[in-house]
Amino acid sequence: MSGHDRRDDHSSEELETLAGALNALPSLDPPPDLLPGVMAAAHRTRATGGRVAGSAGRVAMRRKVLWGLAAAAGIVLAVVAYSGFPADGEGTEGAIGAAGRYQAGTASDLTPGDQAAQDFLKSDLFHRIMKDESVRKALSDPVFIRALADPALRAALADPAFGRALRSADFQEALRSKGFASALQSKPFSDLMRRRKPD
Amino acid sequence: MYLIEDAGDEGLVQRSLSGDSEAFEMLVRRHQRAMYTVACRMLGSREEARDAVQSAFINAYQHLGSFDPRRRFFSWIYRIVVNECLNLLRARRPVDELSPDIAARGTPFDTAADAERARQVQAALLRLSPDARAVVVMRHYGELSYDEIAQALGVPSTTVKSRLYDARQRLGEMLLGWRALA
Repeated sequence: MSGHDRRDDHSSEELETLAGALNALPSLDPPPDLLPGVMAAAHRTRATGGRVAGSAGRVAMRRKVLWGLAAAAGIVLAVVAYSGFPADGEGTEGAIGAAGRYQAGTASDLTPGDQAAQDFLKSDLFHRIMKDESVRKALSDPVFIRALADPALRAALADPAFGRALRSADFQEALRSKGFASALQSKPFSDLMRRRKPD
Repeated sequence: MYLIEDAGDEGLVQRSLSGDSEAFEMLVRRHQRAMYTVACRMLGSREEARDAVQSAFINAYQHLGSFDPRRRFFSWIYRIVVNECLNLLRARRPVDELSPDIAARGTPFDTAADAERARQVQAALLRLSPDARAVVVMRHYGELSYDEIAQALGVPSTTVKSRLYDARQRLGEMLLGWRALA
């Protein structure tokens, strides 16, 4: 019997009956350890910078993308590093102003740094980022202002790995992602910026 | 006062992206029942269903940045769960046991006949091919549109319709008393 013939065997009413029977199957209570298992793996993801351990976390996060986000925010700080760290209390106006001066080529007191960083700072992509309201908001966070004075951050910005991150495709992709601005404002990222150095 | 329970899925996703783990926990709480049910229907095993759903939510958490807020979160997580189930099914050996009794456990039925009918439907579902099962489950339990199913499975909408039609025919034949179901 062909499929076409079979089609004629069942009326639309019967098909509805079947659909009803399928729909009538009950929903099932999830086991009590489902939610804790997910959340424990999620916490491990954040704590380890992206890699999930254990049976529930078979899917590992791409750590390099996370670091790409960190590097993306780091570039904003790099602007400040090249143009001089704002004094405590000066706030984000100093940082953003310095970025603008650097990009416009009007800041004569900038210290040349990694060539990749300098190229990026003059790019259209960076220009758009600096105009983003969420980035400005992130930069106004007191945590960022305090981070600017951290010697470890200065060392991180001078690390050759930072320059390599700027050139990477992941970094460019991360900059364009919707999660970029959100990541900038997250506490984990703030913590990361305060204590981490590029791998 | 703002209650996290009242937040929409999209808002919870945004808060999760900002590092708010409570927001993500709310997303899991909100959808875990539906996702677990779907995984049970697909896999016929509670243990595997739990693992599949956990993996799917963790996968979602790790890729929240790629979620398109113009789409429904439900559809997105549903797709991840179904794909997780399909991967498990493809990795299975053909002789693995399936468990149709899963339909008759966990929820009280009005009558013994209802329970038996549910068991039969689940048993028939488990005899479908994974791809056919996926379209039935997505259509009947997820109430996803043809386009959403097509996107989830990476096939044209016409293929979805064709698979769904064939799957229903097959189910009708297996559930013998096709008319007895009424």
